[in-house]
Amino acid sequence: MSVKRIALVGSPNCGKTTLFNKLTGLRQHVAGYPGVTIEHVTGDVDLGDPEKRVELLDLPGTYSLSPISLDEQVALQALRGELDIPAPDGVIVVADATSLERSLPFVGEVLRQGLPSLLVVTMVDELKARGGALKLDLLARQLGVKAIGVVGNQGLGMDDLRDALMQVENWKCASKDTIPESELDRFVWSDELLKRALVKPDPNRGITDAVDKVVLHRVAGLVLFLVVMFLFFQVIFTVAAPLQEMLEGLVLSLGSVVGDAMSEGLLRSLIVDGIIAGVGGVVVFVPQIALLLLMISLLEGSGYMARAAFLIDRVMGWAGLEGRCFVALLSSYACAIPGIMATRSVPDNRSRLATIMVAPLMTCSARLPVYGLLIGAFVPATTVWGVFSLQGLTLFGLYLLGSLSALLAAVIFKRGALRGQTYPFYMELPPYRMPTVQVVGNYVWTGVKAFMRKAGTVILVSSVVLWALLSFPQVEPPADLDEGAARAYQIEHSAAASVGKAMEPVIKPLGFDWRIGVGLVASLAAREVIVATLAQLYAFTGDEEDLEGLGDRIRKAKGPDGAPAYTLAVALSLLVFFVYALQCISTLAVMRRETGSWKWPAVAFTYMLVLAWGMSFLTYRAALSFL
Amino acid sequence: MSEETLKSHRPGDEVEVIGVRETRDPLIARRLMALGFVPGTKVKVLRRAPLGDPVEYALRGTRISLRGSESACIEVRSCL
Repeated sequence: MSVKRIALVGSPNCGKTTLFNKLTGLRQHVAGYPGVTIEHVTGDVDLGDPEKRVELLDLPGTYSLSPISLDEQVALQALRGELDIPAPDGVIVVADATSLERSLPFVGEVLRQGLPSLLVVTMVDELKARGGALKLDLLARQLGVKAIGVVGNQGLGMDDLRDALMQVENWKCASKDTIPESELDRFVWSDELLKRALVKPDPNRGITDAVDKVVLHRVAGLVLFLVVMFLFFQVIFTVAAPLQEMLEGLVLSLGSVVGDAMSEGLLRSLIVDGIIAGVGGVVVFVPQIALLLLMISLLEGSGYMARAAFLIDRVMGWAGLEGRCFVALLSSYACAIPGIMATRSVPDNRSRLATIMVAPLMTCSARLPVYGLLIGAFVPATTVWGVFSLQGLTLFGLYLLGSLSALLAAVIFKRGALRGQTYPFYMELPPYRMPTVQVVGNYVWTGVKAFMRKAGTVILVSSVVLWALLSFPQVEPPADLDEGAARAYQIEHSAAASVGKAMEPVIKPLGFDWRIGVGLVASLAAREVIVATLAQLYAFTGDEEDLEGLGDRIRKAKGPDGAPAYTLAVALSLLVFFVYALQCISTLAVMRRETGSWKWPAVAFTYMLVLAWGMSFLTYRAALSFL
Repeated sequence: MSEETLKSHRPGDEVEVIGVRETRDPLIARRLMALGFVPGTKVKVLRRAPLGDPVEYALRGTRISLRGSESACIEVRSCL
């Protein structure tokens, strides 16, 4: 059996990803380069021949082999076999037929590397539609390698491509003598060659240009941008929400079915209260995450993302970031996990890292149950100026606080821990295209799979640990207590309570008592867990959805001296704590995956915890003085 | 020595690239060249973003957006 490793090279937006996905399907995996924290994607091509295996190495899209960043450098080294993995057996250079004037010099540069090569020209249909024509044979002859024209998303030319992949040993190496070494000379050479081989397409991009007149218009464009953002959220909350509720119902049912089937005891508690509740609580977020990834991929694949980045780049620039970081932050309003995954589109590694570091400050949907509970219970249901609900304003204030803090934190990161060489901003605006089903599907599937794996491993462990902390040491509650009160009694004497009581001196300045401390410890794994934990602590046996009922119970809770344990000041303090603290193990796990080590997640967790404590303290003190 | 840069041109202008300055950062210059901003290339200034930056340019069959700090590195001459 022969195994051939082929590298896939091309500029961004040339259809390389579509090609990669069409050839490899779901047989892709991500691997790391030895010694560096940068990953690469490889996939196995299905050639229908068990004796011949072709492994495609998808190198990141780039405009030139002269690297200006570490990622590009690693890609170049991989191509040359300079890392500990051998050089590929061949290289496929992908170029967009409609932009050959720009990309042919790059094609030449790649061919000059001297590897057995194949040129694949994509978007030949678009070229034809715009009145252009390409003499592919002439081009192939002049370059000295085989050239194939394809229409990626329609599958045209794919058979020729697969045939070529069956015979990698026949691929030719371009002659270094025909292709100039210097970049400037290569452009001259390329222009000459294209004079003979290419009939240029109409520079007017038809529908794309017409649509851009509106989409990129100073006023209409911005308005449309806001509408798209609004729709983005509407979809999340109206489509994902019902799905999520359904999943929550399923998890609850599973819990009760298993609970009924098992006999009372520790094992049942472990499985129902620990594993099912814990893992289930995170798995219910899958619809939201999948939907976010779907929308991000559609916006990216259609070409609209580049337009959005263009419109908002200046604002992002004020935060030390760039336009492409916007979608990551926007997504983080629903859930930071897809947002962090989406930062891969940002070429500047420092900006990418800064975005990852601040994304969790954006008010994610997991905070909403906590906000709802506390605002509903403690903020008066009055109106301001007769129109604005005070509760609504408070919620808005929390959103604003998180967002502004994120932008400020980004500035501080870019100037401080992440300072360095400025990376130039350049961004291509490709023609609008139909997103490819394979590319979108793969993006969503890979993302969901990664999230579930993290939920599976990290959350499972932390759910069990948390359950153990809340259930041990086992005590015998007084016989006259009902089920809810008995559970509260158990928790009050558990290891978690000891931790909470030990923490009390630290959280007392924030207005928190040990019960809130237990809640904070519990919610480290996932924010919304505090609602369930507080419910258990206050022996609330009603429906978890009944925030009003729970809020009522909490409001009436008394401290050791008989005074109310919770006041508006405490509630505000707790709310602010939740604005800042990174209470989501899934996010930490995804950060680790995207940054290659635990260093950055640790930094994020720490700085946010410090911020949470500080801001919570300030809020509590201010509230005590002014309210 | 022409001091005219791409940054100074407004939407609708058509210019020809003379060269890319390496004074700010050779890496930036290299990348701008790879994007097609090489001597003799015709560039058309298309539009500014609503807040003034970046600016969209048409060249070599593509559309590239650059911020002012990058377009200031590209020396051009007007085409009339």
